[in-house]
Amino acid sequence: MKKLLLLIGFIYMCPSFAQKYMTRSAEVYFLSDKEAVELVEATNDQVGAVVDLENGNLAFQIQMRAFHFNIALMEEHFNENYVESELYPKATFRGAFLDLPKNLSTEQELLVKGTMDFHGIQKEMNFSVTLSLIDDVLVGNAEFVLLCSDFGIEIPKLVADKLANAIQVKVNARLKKI
Amino acid sequence: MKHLVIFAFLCTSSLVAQDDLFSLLETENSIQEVSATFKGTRVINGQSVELPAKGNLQFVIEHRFGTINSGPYELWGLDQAQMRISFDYGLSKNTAIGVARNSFQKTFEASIKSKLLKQKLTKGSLVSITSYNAIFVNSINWSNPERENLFSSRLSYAHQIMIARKFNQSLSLQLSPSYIHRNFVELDAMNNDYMALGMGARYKLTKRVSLNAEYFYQFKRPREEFTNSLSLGFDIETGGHVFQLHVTNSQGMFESAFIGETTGKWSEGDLYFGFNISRVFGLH
Repeated sequence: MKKLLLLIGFIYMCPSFAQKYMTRSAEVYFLSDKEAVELVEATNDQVGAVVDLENGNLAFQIQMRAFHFNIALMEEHFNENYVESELYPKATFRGAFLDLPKNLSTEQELLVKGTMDFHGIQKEMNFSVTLSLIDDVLVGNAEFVLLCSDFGIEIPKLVADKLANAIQVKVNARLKKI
Repeated sequence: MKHLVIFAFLCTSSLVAQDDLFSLLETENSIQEVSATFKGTRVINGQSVELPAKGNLQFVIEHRFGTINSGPYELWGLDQAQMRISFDYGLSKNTAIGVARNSFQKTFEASIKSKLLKQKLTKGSLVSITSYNAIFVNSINWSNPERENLFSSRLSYAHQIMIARKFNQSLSLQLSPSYIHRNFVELDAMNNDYMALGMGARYKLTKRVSLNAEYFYQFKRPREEFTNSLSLGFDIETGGHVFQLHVTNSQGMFESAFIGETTGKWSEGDLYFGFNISRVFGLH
């Protein structure tokens, strides 16, 4: 009986072997090309992210309406005319590390491959992520470029010389063990 | 052996926990407000439920040309125009104040506009409600200088509640019960107070162009020759500016004028072509 209890206790620890980390307050920042006349930048600090270190899978979920701009009119245009956030309220990224992350006590640079689902269009993407695991907090940073034209976001001719097609995206996430 | 069965059973349950990562992220969407029920703070002449954003100064310049049926000598009205210049400032997320000057009866105005309720995307309020209160001071020379004329006779007031719903990406409708008070009326037969019901609509034709319509029904017209205001127009958005081009039977651009003193008749072509151009400046 004692053995059985020990066993059950041991098994109940099982889920903690699943190396899952999560946050609902990752930060995504984007900036249109600095060369463009109209600098478009916005931050969203309510991004959901999950990373499973056991199998290297990761997922992000981004509410489009949570992007905040310094200029209110720009935020309205972003939602109404560009990303159409009532039709496509969220963007997601679902992918995996190409190699299983290990030795995370020092910062590692890892490649991620996955599918970005944004503005109703899915697209395969690869980018590199720096990852470290300190005191049970998984810290990840990534930078990549999205092209508006890849995701069906039209820039009207009238403002084509002011707005850049290439958008630089920065992601900072601090995930806690679950 | 029994132990092994239990072990196997419990391990399966922990395998089920290895499911799709997205299920962990799934939460109820935070309740979000709809955006841009109308493009501008005005549907055409009348106020919409929208306010300038906090810290933004909105400058609007408006023109109503002469009547289209005035013929080629007046170039169908383009030789004459009434104008209005206004500044509105977003004090907070839910309150804006404004000042304006109208060439119609040389009228100054001051207003306060407050968001009372915002329509939500998923759960919550089905409509947005905004209140609008304005005071108008005409500074036109007295029509009868011999009479004892009081400053208070120059004042009129408008109080409105705008109730709007954005039905989908394209269609927004609004009702605006309105109450106008005029301190001084020219004729005994005229009422100092009158009520009207405004109706506004916006239909988005493309991402940047919408068709707008507006009608103010007066429950009791102050004078027989006054008509209900009916306006049709387009909103055209070009990034920093919103252009509103329209045809209306009202030449006045403030509430006590276009709700209560519209004289043009659509049936006779007494129509005014006009535009509003608004530009927003961020003052942070």
